[in-house]
Amino acid sequence: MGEKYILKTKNLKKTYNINSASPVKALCGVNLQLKEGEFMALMGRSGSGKSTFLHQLALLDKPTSGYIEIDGKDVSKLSEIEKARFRLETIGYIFQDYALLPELSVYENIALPLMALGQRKLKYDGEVNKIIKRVGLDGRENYLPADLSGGEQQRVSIARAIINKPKILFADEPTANLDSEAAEIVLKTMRELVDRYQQTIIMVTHEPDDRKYVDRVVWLKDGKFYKEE
Amino acid sequence: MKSWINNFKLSLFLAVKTLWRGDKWSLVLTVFIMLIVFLNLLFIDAIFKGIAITMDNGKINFQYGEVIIEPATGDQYIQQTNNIVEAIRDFYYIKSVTTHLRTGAILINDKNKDGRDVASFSAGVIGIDPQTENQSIDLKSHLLEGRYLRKGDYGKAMLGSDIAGGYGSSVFPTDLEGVRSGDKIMVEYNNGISREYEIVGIYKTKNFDTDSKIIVTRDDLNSILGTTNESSEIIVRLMEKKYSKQALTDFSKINLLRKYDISDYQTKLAFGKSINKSFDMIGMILRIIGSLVAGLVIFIIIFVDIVNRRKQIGILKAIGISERTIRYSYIIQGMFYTLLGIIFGYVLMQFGIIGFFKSHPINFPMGDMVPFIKKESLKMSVILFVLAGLIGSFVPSLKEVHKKILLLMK
Repeated sequence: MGEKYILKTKNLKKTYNINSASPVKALCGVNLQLKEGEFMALMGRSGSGKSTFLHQLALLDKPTSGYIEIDGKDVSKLSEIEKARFRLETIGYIFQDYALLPELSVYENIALPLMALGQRKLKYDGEVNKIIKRVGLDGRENYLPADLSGGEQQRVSIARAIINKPKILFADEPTANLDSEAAEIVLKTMRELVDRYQQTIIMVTHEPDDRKYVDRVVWLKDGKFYKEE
Repeated sequence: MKSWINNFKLSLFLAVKTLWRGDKWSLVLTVFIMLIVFLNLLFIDAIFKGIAITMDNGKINFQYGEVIIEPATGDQYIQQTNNIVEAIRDFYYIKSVTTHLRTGAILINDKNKDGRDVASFSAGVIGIDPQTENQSIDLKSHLLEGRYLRKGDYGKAMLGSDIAGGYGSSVFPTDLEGVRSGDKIMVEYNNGISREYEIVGIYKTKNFDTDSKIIVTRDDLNSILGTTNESSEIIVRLMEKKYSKQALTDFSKINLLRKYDISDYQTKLAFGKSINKSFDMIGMILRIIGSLVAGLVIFIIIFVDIVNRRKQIGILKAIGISERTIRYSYIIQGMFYTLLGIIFGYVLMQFGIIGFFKSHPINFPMGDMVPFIKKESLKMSVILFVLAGLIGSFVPSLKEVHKKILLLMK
């Protein structure tokens, strides 16, 4: 784990239906600092604000107020086009339901971010094949997502999220739809990313057992930090 | 520029994969719908063009030829007809020349020869030289019955079907109530001379001006009018229409023709031109409506596709793929449907429908009509169709792709 903070939030707030008679306060001034190479779990009951917090950090949603800094950059000031570019270059995101494109093969799903970065196949081919091997999907490069199991799909999702070597990886309940065996493979893969490549990861999870894979657990309750382990 | 090319390459990749790995039946059905819409666009216009061409060809082939020489306004005849024909027939682009003598007469058909059941009306009489006429105007193959006039025929005539009566509907207000070849009618010329004619043939060209005439030999009409070397019009047929302007230039240099009016078919078809303009206008309106329908079809197809793939758009945006790239991929898909619709629509029209009508022309009152696609109309239809496809695919993608990522991924 490095000493440099890769992520900082200050007084981050998110209120839904802000102009209505009954606004919903999902985040109430969250402050967080995360070091490079740290694997952190965000836990809490349903409605505690975990996913909302993750969406703000991954630039999938816009906070009502507050400050987010990723890799030294104040991302709250970025335009939509700049945010898209930032997501492509700096952030990786693993979705609970894998979020793979059904018409693209395993190889194409994984290569997509590199294609979007304008890389040629000649350049990214070796990288994609290497990562396919690393997540244990060699031999299934040309499979379509529908032909894979849930665990395999989630590993494709992880491979896609890390192919562009993101500074930070966000995972939204990545094991929620998997059986325990597949969940363990996914969590081990993520842990390996941290241990071998100093990947920074924030993972939202419900599973108490997942705690053994992470360095730090932060609990959210009613949109606020509640406790830390 | 580099970023634009990258965006486009990725859009193309996404569009191709979606089309290739998507539902094949939806693809076939969509292209089929586009084909039908484009075919509809071409077909109505081709019918209009076909009617206009049929009308024009009728006038050229049976009435004016490619070039026509007429007396100047106020004069009755062209003088020195034989010398003029000699002077013009040697140009390399001349196919044939024929001369007409025209006059008016009252045609009388006393059916029972007892003066009780008489049909009569005024009609135009044309005197022809059967030999030269047959090389220029093909009435012989348009005879419904009887025979063609022969040189030396006196008291014999061919009658247009419109005035003979009994040969189907006619725009001529009256007729001789069913004259057949072998029947005899009385012709009272405007100069007071009357002569009985045996009808040797009935013809039908579907050109109204031709089918409402009675045709006799030139020698016969000369004997009535007292003319020898005069004519009412000289009809010139050319190897190809394209020589008509050159013929006008060459003829205008001939001294014998100085005082006569020389016109080419384009001048003579002025009436047809105005109809053509009306057809063009109707065609354009139909093209615009057709293109709107096409645009709407593309809009609906792309819109439904986008709504079904809303989550995937959200995924692409979440990964960091720009809205522009996603939009382009839908526009490329729309263009793919549009271009395939155009290609298949054109091939089916040109080689299927027009091919069929070439062997089975549509029987129109003004002639046998074959639909025709004019290059300019095709170009305009393609431009409008592509434009409609572009707008039809751009609008729904613009609206949907811009939505928030989390909303799209719900």
